[in-house]
Amino acid sequence: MYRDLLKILCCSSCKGELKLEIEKEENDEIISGYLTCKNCGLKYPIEDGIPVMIIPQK
Amino acid sequence: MGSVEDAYLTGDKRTEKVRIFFSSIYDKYDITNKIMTFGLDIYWRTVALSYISMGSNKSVLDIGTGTCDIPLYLIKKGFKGSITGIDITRDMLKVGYKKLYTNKKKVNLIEGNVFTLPFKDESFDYVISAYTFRNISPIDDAIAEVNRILKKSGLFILLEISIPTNEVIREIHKKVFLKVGPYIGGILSKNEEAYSYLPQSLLSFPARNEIIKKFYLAKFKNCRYRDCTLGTATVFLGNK
Repeated sequence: MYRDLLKILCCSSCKGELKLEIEKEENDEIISGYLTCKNCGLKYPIEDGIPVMIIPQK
Repeated sequence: MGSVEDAYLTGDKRTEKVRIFFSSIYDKYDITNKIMTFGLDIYWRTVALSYISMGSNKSVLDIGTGTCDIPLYLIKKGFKGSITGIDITRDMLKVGYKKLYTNKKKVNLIEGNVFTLPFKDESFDYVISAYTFRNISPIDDAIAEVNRILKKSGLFILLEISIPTNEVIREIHKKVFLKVGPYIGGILSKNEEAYSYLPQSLLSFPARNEIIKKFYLAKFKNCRYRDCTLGTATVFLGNK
């Protein structure tokens, strides 16, 4: 994913703002890291350049 | 997995079945699709995409982007805006990611669910979805989500294979699409059971007028549809 996505991306569950943590970045592309909801705390991984925005099953 | 009954499941159960189904055929999806529709899937996609202004600097979301044929087509045709693709099936996205990466194209891909789209309100000028909504149930909720994320006056373009309205053509189509297509798809993918799901998903999909009603219920305006190739595919359109 690219940083511009953060302007429109939000938490799948509560639609809250997301905080980005980068583990690996290559040529402006975020390859791995985490997106954490500032509102409800849900944490979504970024794996192989693709954020996994599926709400985890309880 | 991929049985006839699966086409009538709803909610999370349907979503999970669809995810497993597409995970089982992801590596042969492109070629099998083309053979099953006699290559017409590409033409129908071109018709659907003709409603997007190619030179414009707008934003597009492709729901059920799969192996990323729509993002790649938009880039090839000179689309200057931002492109985002979302899909529930990671294996399909991986194929798409590789295609984009090989072509050095900048597209944001997301693994996500259409019922809980991870986008802020009014994020996109266009939302397009091709051959995806017949795998979704209940589609009313999905159409409402699309309305939420579209900008004011934004356009929703929904492309689906259809049952022809003409009786004679419908009978021929039934034989070809329900029998020959799954047979060929089964041989190619070595998964005949999975391919019996595809035609059944078409039979369980609401009629044209029902889809238009659902668009209006979700507060879309100027809702209309356009049949392609004797009504074997339909493009539905609605403005926010």
